[in-house]
Amino acid sequence: MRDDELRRLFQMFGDPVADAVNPPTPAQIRHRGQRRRRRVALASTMAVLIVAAAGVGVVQARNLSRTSPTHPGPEPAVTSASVPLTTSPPAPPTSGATGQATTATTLPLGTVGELHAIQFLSATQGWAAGRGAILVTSDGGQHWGRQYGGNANLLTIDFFDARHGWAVATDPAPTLLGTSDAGQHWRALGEPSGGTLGKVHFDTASQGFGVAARNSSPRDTRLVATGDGGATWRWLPTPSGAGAGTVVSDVCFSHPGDGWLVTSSSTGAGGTVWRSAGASSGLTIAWHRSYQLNTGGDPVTGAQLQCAGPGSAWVQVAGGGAAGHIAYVLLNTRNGGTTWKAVLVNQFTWRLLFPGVPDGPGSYPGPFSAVSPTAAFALGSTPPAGDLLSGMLATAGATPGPARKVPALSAMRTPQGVSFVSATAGWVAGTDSTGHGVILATTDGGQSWKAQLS
Amino acid sequence: MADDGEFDHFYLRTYGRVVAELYGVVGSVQEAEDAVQEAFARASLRWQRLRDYDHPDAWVRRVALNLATSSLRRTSRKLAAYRRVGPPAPVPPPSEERVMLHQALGRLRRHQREVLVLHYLADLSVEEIARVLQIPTGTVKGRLFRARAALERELGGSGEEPVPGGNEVRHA
Repeated sequence: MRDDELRRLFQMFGDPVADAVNPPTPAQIRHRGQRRRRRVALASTMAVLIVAAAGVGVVQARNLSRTSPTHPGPEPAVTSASVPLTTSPPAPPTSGATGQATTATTLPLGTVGELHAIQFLSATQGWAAGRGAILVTSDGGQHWGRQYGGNANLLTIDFFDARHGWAVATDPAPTLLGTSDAGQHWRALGEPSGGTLGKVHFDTASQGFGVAARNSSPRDTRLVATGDGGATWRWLPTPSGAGAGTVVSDVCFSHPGDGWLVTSSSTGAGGTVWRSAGASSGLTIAWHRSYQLNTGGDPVTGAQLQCAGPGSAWVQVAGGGAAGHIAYVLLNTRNGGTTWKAVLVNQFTWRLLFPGVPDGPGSYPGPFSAVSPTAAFALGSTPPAGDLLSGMLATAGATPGPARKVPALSAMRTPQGVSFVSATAGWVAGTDSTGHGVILATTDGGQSWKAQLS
Repeated sequence: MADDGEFDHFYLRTYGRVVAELYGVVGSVQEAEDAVQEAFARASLRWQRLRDYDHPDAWVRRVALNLATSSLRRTSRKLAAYRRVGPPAPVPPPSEERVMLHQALGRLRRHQREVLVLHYLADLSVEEIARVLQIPTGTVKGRLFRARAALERELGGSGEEPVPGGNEVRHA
């Protein structure tokens, strides 16, 4: 049967139905939508009230167990089984230095396990995330409280502003959590159909992009987008001209229309940084090639990307391993991607590709934090030296500061998180050798570190 | 209010066509209408955003397909659909060809009906189907090939057997 015959048959099948149906009036449809919205809102309110009541009960029970002279047992650890997804009703807001901090934590801090990510929006307001934990501070880390105590092992956290944030976990199940009230309540959001989110980045309170593994395959990661705050996601095409087998590593936007994407080839060599090409239509982005890293056949195994203001970005590309080293290079652009400059490189591996570029911290790449268009703080580890973790301030256009040791963190439990809000003030989150979460803070650009959470 | 007018126009223009498409997938006008009405109700809440989409009807189609997916919910939905939608709309007596196609589609697998309906009834390209179903274009091509062969067999034609191992192609 020919195509046109089949088409005619289907039209004959569908047309009478399309013509015969008697649609409700548009007002009736909108009314049905409003009814649904009220039902959902009522159900959410009921759920929050029930969970909040349970949370208050848990907290009261803990307080009782701590204060009762006849039950002097140890302080109970916060576990995934005992702590609800959302916190109990918000306490009165406390003002941070920015005047917009609204942290009101009602869960006890409890035992903090592995920490993987940290993000500060200002010198006072920050969040950290890890296994079964989202922690918050509104005084620069002098005091930390817990906002989430479920069982998700959260690997990334992304706050667009002081109210809207998202956290991603891939185990024990793919999970995207979101908040619109500075973390007082976290709720589960959506995942792309047939895929698992690995990281997200929002450029407005509702519009965001992410990298998701198709069928949970780390070798098939693609770009996804949401226009409703993460409730639903759709797959976006890889840039035209990227070629088959392109792996999407990271995406970020300074603001809508000013974005970057980094990809690599699943077959090995080469990494590409893409620049969003001007105006976009909704979530459909046109990309053009901004930088091509030719590694001469060496594999590219991953890349991280951070926006640093209009037309500025930092990219770290990682390559293959050799003799206790993993190749990496930290690149910077400040002119919309017209030119790129290598700022740090693992000289043991890629010195021929980037001759004369300063050596980076550690023999393995770590996370980095873009401070400004001209400065970033990079972490690296050196497994042959007892997993020594070190960091250094990288500056585009000037000699980077010396690599300095970051104490008391186990570099094996990657990824650690790092967040700097200036060239001097920063935080690193990770895990110590006993498996407990650690947050270290510096006020001198990483020359000295002070432990928080202790 | 201008938004309402725009949504109303979109809804009235698209409703019948999407119901017909979903009917081809689920085999029941009532179920199709209920799922499509629910999809449009949800679209009305999100119209500020959907209006900027290149193809907002693709969103409605996807949601309606999802709503009609769960076989566990289908029985209860039939009852709820009857309550909400009422008895089926009077449809002209079916032609013999229509009855044959209806029966043949009913014997295919759900995902085969989806691609056939979206391609031959909704007139979507392979790329557009991939976007609606959120699957790779290679998978769409594979499904379409197999579905078409299966349909031709059901209709008594000479549909070729798919080549073993030549089924759903996945992108690397």
